[in-house]
Amino acid sequence: MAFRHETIEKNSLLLLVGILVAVSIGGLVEMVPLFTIGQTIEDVKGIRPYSPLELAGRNIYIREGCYLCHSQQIRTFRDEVDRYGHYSIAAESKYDHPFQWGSKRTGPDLARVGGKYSNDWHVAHLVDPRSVVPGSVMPSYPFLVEHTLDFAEVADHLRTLRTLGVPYDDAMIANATADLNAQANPDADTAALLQRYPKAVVADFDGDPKRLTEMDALVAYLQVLGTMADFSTYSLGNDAKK
Amino acid sequence: MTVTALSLGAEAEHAGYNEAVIRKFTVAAAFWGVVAFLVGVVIALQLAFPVLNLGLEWTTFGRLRPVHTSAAIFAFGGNVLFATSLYVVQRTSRASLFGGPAVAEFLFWGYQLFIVLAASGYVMGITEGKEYAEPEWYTDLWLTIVWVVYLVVYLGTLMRRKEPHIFVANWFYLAFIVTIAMLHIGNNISLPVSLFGAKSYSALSGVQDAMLQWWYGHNAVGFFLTAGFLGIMYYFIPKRAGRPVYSYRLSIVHFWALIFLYIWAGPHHLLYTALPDWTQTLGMTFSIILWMPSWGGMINGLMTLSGAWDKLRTDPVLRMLVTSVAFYGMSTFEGPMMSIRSVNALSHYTDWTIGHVHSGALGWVAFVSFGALYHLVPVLWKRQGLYSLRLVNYHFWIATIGIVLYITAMWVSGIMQGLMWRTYDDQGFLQYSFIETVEAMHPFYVIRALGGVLFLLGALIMAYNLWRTIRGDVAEPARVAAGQPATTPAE
Amino acid sequence: MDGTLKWIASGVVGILGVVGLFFAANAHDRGIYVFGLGLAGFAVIYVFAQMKQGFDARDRAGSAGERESDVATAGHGLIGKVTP
Repeated sequence: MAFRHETIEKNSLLLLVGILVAVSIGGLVEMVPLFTIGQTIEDVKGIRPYSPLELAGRNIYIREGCYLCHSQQIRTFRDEVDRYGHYSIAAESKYDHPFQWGSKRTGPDLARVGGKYSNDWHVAHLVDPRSVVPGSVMPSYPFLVEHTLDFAEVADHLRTLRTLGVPYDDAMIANATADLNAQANPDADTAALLQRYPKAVVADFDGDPKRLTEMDALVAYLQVLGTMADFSTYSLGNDAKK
Repeated sequence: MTVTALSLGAEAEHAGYNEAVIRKFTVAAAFWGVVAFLVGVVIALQLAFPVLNLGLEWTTFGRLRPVHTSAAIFAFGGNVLFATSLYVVQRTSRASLFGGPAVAEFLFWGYQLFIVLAASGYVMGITEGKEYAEPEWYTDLWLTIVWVVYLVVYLGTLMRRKEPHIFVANWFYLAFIVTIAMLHIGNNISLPVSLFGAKSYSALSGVQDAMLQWWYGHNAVGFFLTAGFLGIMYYFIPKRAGRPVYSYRLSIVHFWALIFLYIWAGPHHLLYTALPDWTQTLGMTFSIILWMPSWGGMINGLMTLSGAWDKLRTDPVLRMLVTSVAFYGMSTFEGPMMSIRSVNALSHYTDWTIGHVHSGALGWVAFVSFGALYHLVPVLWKRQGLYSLRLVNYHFWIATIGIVLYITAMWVSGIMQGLMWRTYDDQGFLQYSFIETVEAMHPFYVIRALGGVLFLLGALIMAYNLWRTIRGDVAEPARVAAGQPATTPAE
Repeated sequence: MDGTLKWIASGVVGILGVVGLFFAANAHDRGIYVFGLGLAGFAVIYVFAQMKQGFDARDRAGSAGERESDVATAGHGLIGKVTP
């Protein structure tokens, strides 16, 4: 045999280079085409960036580690579609920095929880899960109503996401703080907010109109999950034809 | 001190090995191990008795779980890898650590700082929201600095070796260090909102971020928890058994196959999700092929005992090391099996995944670590042997029973829950509401917590044993006089 | 060689410590504040530890005679830290 492994064993740099080559290949093959193959992100209407309040809620979701017990990815099985709704498609999480598909269901999947329960239910459940679901093992989050929402730099967050490719336009960034407050105030003029963020749920989520709390944000986020994609115009066949 | 111990000590000092930093890493490993297992018991109990979340923001399961996983992987596992890799590279190269004591000290304290920053961050709610990559951007940057220094120290020591061949354990350690650097940097590219704020947003999103995360996540297992610990196996089992590694050729084949194949396995965490089918199929296929080099490693480790099987009866430390390899074989069979689409359809999102993780983490990673720690402490503190081999025995049996309780509870609960989710009644409706499946888990959560308590108890016994050894106490002087295995021959 | 590296390492860590203080002073949230102070604390402890070990080594060398101290500073890179 012309080549002997001994050559590598006697040269630490050759060993290093060999290792680097060996471990680089799999990642490149599996990741690069996800950017170059168009069908990876499906052609479906309705997906939009998160509104400021929804984004604040999403950050709280991540902060509290909700993804550790709740998935956000409905698989292509009949029982999952029956239980949770249409299976998840890649386009629905294309603005999710980071993705929150989750890998464990200690609690149910939340991919399409938006609109399934009332705001009051969510608040009661988050403050004390066992008051609405007696057998639940979920932790209690009463502090969410106590904490005022601290999101003064919301415009900076939108700008950062825009740099990463999320299509926040100048109007969205300029009105970030206004939109943040308007979404939790049904008496406010929310026409512009809804024009920027269609299907955003506007409500006094936590039941306390005087304060904008972390609970407002989290419930606003939960109520939009799975509601954006317009499945009436989407079908799997469209992508396959491309 | 006997002549053996004196000559050991004299030789080490004469050659100038840096053992002071190895001692520090060894103590840190034992300490963080106890912390990791304790937090594990707490969160296991929280799932069985949710009142233990206390209703406070700092003690919820969601904030404590990453404390447990990071403590187990990076604090316990990481310090074990630092201790053993720096010990093995010096001894097999017959050279002291490149960079000298000052740089080695930086490595030790710098890594502990990383651990403290990460764990305190999680409790405060600072997390990037990606499993095993939770630390935020500034902690990630700090780890990168420490890791680069680690690579330089390790490679530098290798390069000034007196022994021309690089011993097989070092191939695995080097692969671990280099690949973790690549994975860490790749998966942690994120843009901070402000240089003076903790929050950052990941560069990728959605399905691409998912692929990136599990390219990283599976190979954190493959390289941090497997390749690195195979390095431990390749040094400490032959050393303890007094036998050479079983097969040189097998080492070569399984090393290159393992490090090449492992990288592809990531998509088996994303089967039946919105990840494209072609990627899922690649992940599944390569995960199944991966079974072979994994078992190649197991065979190499086990067959090294050829001609020394009797030592398993008399040396509980060797018994622990060999048992770890058996668990490694079990986990690396279960893993490929769970990567098959139809099996994964049942197992994904259930406790079966947790059971699989812990058979590998407790049975393989922790046991081989315990074996290495038990071997190292007498050598590093120049003792005749461990304070008590009987306590090692107790540790072995208590921990093994704990592991068995843990994994069987999770197999039963996981499969049960998976089946319950997909059960239809005879009218075609889903039989069980989600909460009914949660309620069915309760007894298994209790059994699992008990398994964890036993495992923690074993670790506390180990900590006590190591502490008494360091102090120079000997519990069984008669054993020493009778010439039972204590430390192993010189070097 | 080891002696020089000790100075370089201490210098770099010292700078990092100052950077840490800067971060802590300008921190927008608790995370960066803790990070900055942690870095500064680490730097202080590290540099003090290097100074202590340097003086301890010199004391030991001084009491053991001239030859040992030559060897200790000769820096072939093979003399590691010797602690009982």
